[in-house]
Amino acid sequence: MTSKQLGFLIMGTLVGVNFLTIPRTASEAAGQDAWIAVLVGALLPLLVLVLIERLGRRFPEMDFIQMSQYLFGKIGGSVLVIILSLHMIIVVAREIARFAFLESIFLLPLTPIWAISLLILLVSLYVAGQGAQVVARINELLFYLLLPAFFLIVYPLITAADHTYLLPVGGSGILSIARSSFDVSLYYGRMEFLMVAYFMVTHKDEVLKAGLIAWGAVTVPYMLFTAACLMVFGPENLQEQITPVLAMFTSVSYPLLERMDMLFLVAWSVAFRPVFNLLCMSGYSLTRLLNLQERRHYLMLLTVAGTAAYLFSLIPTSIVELIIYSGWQGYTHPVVGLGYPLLYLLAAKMREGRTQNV
Amino acid sequence: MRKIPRKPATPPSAPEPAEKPKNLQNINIPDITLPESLTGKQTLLKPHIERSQDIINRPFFIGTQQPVEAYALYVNGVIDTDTFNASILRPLMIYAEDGEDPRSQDPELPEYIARTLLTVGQIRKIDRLADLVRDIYDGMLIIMLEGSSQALSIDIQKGPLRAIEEPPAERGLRGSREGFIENLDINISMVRRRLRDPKLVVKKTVVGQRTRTQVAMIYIEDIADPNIVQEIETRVNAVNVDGIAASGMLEQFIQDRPWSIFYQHRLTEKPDKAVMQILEGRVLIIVDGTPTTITSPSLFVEFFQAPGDYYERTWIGSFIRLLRYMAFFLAISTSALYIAVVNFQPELIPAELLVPIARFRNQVPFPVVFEILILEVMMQLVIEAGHHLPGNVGQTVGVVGGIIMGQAAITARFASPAAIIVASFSAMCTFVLPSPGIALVSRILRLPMILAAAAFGAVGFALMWLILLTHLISMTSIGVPFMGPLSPTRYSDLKDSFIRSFLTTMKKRPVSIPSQDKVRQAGQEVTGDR
Repeated sequence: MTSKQLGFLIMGTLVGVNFLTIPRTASEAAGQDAWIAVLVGALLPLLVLVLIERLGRRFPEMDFIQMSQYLFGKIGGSVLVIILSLHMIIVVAREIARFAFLESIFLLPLTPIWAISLLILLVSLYVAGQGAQVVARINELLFYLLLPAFFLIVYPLITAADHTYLLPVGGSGILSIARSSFDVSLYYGRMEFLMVAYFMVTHKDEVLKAGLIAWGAVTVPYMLFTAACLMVFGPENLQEQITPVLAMFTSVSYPLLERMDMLFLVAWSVAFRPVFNLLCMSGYSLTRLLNLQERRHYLMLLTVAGTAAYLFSLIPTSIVELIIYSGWQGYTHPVVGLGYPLLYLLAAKMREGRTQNV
Repeated sequence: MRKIPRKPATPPSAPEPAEKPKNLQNINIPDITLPESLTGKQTLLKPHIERSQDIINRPFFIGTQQPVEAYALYVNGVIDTDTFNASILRPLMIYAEDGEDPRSQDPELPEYIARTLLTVGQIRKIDRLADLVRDIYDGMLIIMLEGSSQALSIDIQKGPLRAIEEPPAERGLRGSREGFIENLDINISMVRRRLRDPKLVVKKTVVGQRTRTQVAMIYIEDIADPNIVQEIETRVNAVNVDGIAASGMLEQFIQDRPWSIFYQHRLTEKPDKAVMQILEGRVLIIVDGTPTTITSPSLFVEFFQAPGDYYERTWIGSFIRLLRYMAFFLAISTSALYIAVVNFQPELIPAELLVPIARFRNQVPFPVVFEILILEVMMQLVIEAGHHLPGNVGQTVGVVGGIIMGQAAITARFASPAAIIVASFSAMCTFVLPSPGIALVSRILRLPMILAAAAFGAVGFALMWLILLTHLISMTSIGVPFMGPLSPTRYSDLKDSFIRSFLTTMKKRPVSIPSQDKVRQAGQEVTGDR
């Protein structure tokens, strides 16, 4: 894939359901400074991006599996690949569950969760089954198709926003902003998929630039929507909204179309990009790990990964349980996102030193 | 008779020709050299033509003083008999006696006849039985001579031809009214007259072991990508089938994704459109016997383009293009959206509209999805009936059938007025699409959309669109991404996709179609790679 397509892949993977809920999480501790917390929290994926890019530069001719086995031996490397694949499968399960619950609440109240989850899984398997290049391209196309939805924010900003809700800037205190920033940074997780995707790019020298653009393209809308929700609801009322972004559309009456939240959500219902992006990456990793070449093997392993994710997604039986599980699972992002590239870089350094000594 | 320079004597047994591609091989005909005696040739030929009573075997003598016995063979009704009499029989039988007499045993006699006596254009010498049989059935006139192992194969074909007319499916307000016809050579000449570039290449081949249908591939040598040309040529030559009857069949043999519902090559009957496609680096494939030609590779956006877009003002062309995209979306989506909204999200309908819809819906005994499906089937049947009835009768059936059946359906409480509006609006949108292929596809795609919306409301509808887009993105046409320039995005080509930008700004050829010469308008430097 091209570096541009990788950029769209990063955007699609970072933006999921959390887009609808991030203003509430950000304002929980930071109050009116939630938008600052969103900006600061975005430094974590940026750091992950830079680390993986530094690592990738050292092994431009290898893919993730070859690099892992080169640095940690066949068994050690394979274990690390499997752990990352499992991590991605669990993230996929969480995203499926989140989407299913969201759609159950707002669009399909009578349809059972398992059916919605299965629908999401089957569509994701179809998309991911087409291969990484098609997955990257569908991310690119969806970016342009969903872009107009972001401009819906303008109307509530004009009609219902009160900028004084943002004041005083920095008033919530550095510690509160820092605590919110950490919570928000978990929302930006999933950048660790780059450990696999980096090596699929043809022009690796352009990865950092594409990654930075994608990072900016995710951070700025997050920040804008957080600020918009703050200006419409204020920090206290914001805490009462499960999905503040949707609530913002409900709070104002759009000309012609009264239920803009519904339309936004319908458009958003194709945005489970993290599901098929990560499924594709985990399927690819497992296929390469088992040294299988044919497409049918990839499809088979993809189905196995998807089925596992689907079963995991059925574990939470209520939205409360889902939030609790998601909270725990969120902590794995900084661990894997920072831990993996640091571990690999350390191993590369050590191997380099050993080679020089020899 | 003038002497013609003799060639070195040919070896007694000619070397066996290299193995031909499967589509060029002859079925069950021994590939042997023809004997010199006329009787020997006739004996060899007899098993292959004796059951074809439409083959005319005309014996005659060349010259009068030392006449050479000869035979003319042809399929009745295929050759031009006037040319045969005036330009072949007459010079051979009457004028051949001028000067020296022809020598019956002269191995150069066929060469002499071809060069000095026959006043027709295309003459080929053949010396193998397989070629002889093949040429007879290909519609050539064969002249066999006593004392020569060579026969003459002369192309003077002329059959009944349809007049050149405007293709009914591709009518335009401006531009050429000409359309391709069923004759390959005339179709090629229509392209030649519009594209007088010496670099225009016409390559002919034969497809179908039994039908032996002639196929021509036309492209500009220094514009078309050689890899694409090679790939198309390989695919066409690899077609190993007993016969093809039309270009639509060949298209299915050379496409990348046979299972897809979408056409992967653009079909056109208009030479002006074909020429513009060739100028963009595509290969035009013309199949003898079909007015519909294939241009390859093709892009999804092409199916929304018509030649008239470029002949109109930019603003008008762009507006019509946008209308077509909207029509495609609505043709597929309107019925599904109606079901999703009525069944799952009625709150999206304004209250003033919701009440009458609910009142009429209440009178219909079927679920909304069933109601829409019945109307869709009725609509499809009316459209099909309209297509298969002659001209005005078809239109009348369409209009009268639609109005009467719609009115009757409401009166009988078979369907609600809103559902009839939705179904007829969807059907009408398909007629806006300029390509019959994409119109047909939109009629079929509506059904899975309806079922998805019936099961999962707007979510099912949105997911079905995601599947559709993924499918389109995964497709290629001769290896070229089918969804370009939308995905992968080629920004420079977007000026000729949803809109049609000013012609003066289209300085380069589209990068979505690989080409060698990227500059279309002079004075433009090409920078960067595609």
